[in-house]
This record gives sequence, structure tokens and C-alpha cells, in this order.
Amino acid sequence: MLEIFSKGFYASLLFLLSAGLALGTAHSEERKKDLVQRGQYLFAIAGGCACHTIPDGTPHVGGRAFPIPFGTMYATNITADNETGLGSWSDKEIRNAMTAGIRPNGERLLPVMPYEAYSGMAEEDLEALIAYLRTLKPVRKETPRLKTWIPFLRPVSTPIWLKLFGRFSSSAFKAPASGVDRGRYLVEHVALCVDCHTPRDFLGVPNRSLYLAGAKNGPLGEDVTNITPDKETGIGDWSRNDIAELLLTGIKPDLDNVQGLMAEVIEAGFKNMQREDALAIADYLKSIRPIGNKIK
Amino acid sequence: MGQHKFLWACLIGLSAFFVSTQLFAQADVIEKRQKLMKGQSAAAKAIKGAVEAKDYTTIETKAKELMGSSEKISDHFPKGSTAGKTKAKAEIWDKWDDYGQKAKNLRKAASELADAAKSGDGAAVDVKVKALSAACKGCHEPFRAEKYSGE
Repeated sequence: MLEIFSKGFYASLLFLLSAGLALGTAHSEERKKDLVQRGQYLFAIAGGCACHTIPDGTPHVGGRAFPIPFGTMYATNITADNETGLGSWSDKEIRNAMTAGIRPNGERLLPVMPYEAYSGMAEEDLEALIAYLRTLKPVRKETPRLKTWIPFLRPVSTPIWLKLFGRFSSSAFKAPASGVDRGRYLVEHVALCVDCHTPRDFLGVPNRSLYLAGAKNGPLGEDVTNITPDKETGIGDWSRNDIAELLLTGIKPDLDNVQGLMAEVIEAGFKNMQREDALAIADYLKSIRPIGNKIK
Repeated sequence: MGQHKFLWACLIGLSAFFVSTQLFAQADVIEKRQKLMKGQSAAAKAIKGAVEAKDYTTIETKAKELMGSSEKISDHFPKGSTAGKTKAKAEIWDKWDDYGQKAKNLRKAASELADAAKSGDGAAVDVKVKALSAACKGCHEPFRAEKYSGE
């Protein structure tokens, strides 16, 4: 039966299959390159994940201490190191940690890691971000263990806290492309302004009635500004360009510079935000409810 | 014996009086320099607004105001004036010469901005406003704490 086909036929078939494979591979490589590039940009909007870097230290290797009401926790190594970082984790495992707070071994992450917020990140953004994380140069560095006086904080207290106070979001495939919707998406699920600028009680529960209204003794003990459009205590007298400029340069309308954690996230990532995204965030911030809450 | 007690009481009273006057003096200088900085903030904000409006007269006026206030900065930071609500870091006095130079840098940046505004060159004004902001940051980063002392 096979004899009816000439050698030329098989040669052509082989050539077509090879060409198809090559084109497919090239396309796949191209897609992966685009994905990583997009992921790098999202990483920047996420503030370069600065929490995972000790200031002036090696980027992304974790170890940064975060005092919490019940002890001290340490940000993890998110480089591609196989033993101490994410190198041996599958994409699904990274996604699960980032959006549900569960490690491959089933261990719970404390909600200091903003997985509730990331649960609302668009599917395609999450895919891109994970692709980029995999390109972070592997650096071996063990993360110190959680120090706490509460027994079973991870396996027992954390699920209870999440049940009572957790706020997970559903995730669309694609993020909003522009405007106030995109601004809201970035503020809530990527840049995570809510995480620092909304005050929390002693249990770490965000007070949504003071949404983005600033916090005394916020993360790492810093005072965090009120970024609602309240004219007296917030940024109500800032223009959208003023807000965008701050995100991109760290400079306020009076030419003063931000310091502390905000300066870190700008330097680690926000400064590489596209102006359109900075303006989208600005437009969202100018659209929310003004709340009087004096911090400084 | 009664005389000794009286003398001790006088000594303690005088010491307390002396310490309290020093504390009040420090509180006073801290308040004055915070007022100076707020004034500089207001001038800088006016400059930023005037850039958008291309109001070069205001830019020149406010830049000259900053030149004047920058010359007063060092006088408002007497050695060890940290007792009170202040963001001044100890490095100011550890690196006093460097700190003084930062104030001079601010004056220079303000002076160049005033000149650019006087010339009416919009592009030059933009460059000099950025330089002015960099001069502010150049001092704030090493010498200003994130939080007030005692918080």
C-alpha cells in the first residue's frame, strides 16, 4: 500500500512536518518572549515585589522581616532557585500560592502576602507574571522560619481568619484595557495600593470604611498617606498629572520626594509604569469617595 | 542641716529651670524650622503650578524666595536640637559640612531657576525645576527620617 507513494512524497511530507514543527517552535518561543516581556511590565506595576527584597540587598531573595501582631514573618525567596526559591514549583503551584496562599506542601501563607488581592488578577496577567518570575536569576537563600507565639498559626488560625475576614475575588481572563476600570484593577489587584493605604486593626483586618484613607503605623511601622480625594487630609487638590508624576518619579506637587516603602516600590517598579497606566490609577483615585483622615 | 537642704533645693530647682529652658528653646527652634520648611514647600508648590500656567514671573519670585530661605536652613539646626517632634536625623550634625553643602545646592538650584524664568525659556525652566526637586531630595534622603522622633 505504501508503495503507491513515491519517495518524493514522503520527502515532501517530512519537509512539511519539519517546517511546521520549526514554525510552531518559533511561534511558541515568540509567544513565550512576549509573555515574559508582559510579565516584566506587570512585575514593575506590582512595585517590583519590593517586599521580597531587603533594602540595598540582593533583589528578590526574600528574608525581609515583617513584624506582625503575633510575631515576625519573613518574605520568601522568589527567584528561580530550585531549593530555596520557586524553581522547582510548577506554574499551577506558583499560581496557587499567589492567589490562594497555599504552598505546594499545603502550608498556608499568612495573609501578609497579598494573595487575596492577587486572586483578582486577570488570568492572562497572572500567566505572564509567572512566566517572568521564572526568569529571575536563581539565588540560593533560605527564608527564615516564621516566629510566633501562637501555636498552629498557619494551619489553624490562618484558615479561620480567612473564613471570617478574607476577601477573595473572581478573576477575569483579560484585564480592563484603559480608563477608571483599569485604574481600579491596578490599584486593587496589581499595584496593591489598598494593601498599605487602607488601615488595619490589631488582627490585620482592613478597615474598608477607610478605603485608601491612610494608616498610622502601617506596614513596617510607617505612616501611610491618605490618597482619597479629600481636600483637607487627602490628595484632593492634586491633579491627575500630579498623581501620575508621583507614581513615576516619587516627586510630589511641592517638589518634595516620598521616602520609605513608597520610595522603594517606585524605584523597584512603578517608575517603569507606562504613563497611561499611571494616569488610569490617578483617574481611579480621583473617582473614589473622599474620606477625611489626617495622618501627618 | 536645714541650710544644706535649702542649698540642694536651690540647686535642683536651678537645674530644672535650666533644662526646661533648653527644652523650650529646642522646641522653639524645631517649630521655627518646620515653619521654614513648610514655607519652602508652599513656594515650590507655587512654582509647580506656575510652570503649568507658564507664569514665569511667579516662578522667578518664588525661586528667589527659596534662595533666601535656603540661606537660613543651617541656622535652624543648632547642634543636638533633637529633643522634640522632629524628623531631623543625627547625621545632620555628624556630617555637618555635607549638610551645609546641601543647603548651598538648594540655593544654587533656586538661583538657576530664577534666571531661567527671567529669560522666559520654557524648556530651561523645566530642566531647572527638575534640578530644584533633585536638590530638595538630595538633602531629604540622607538627613530626614521617615517618622517623627518618638513615634
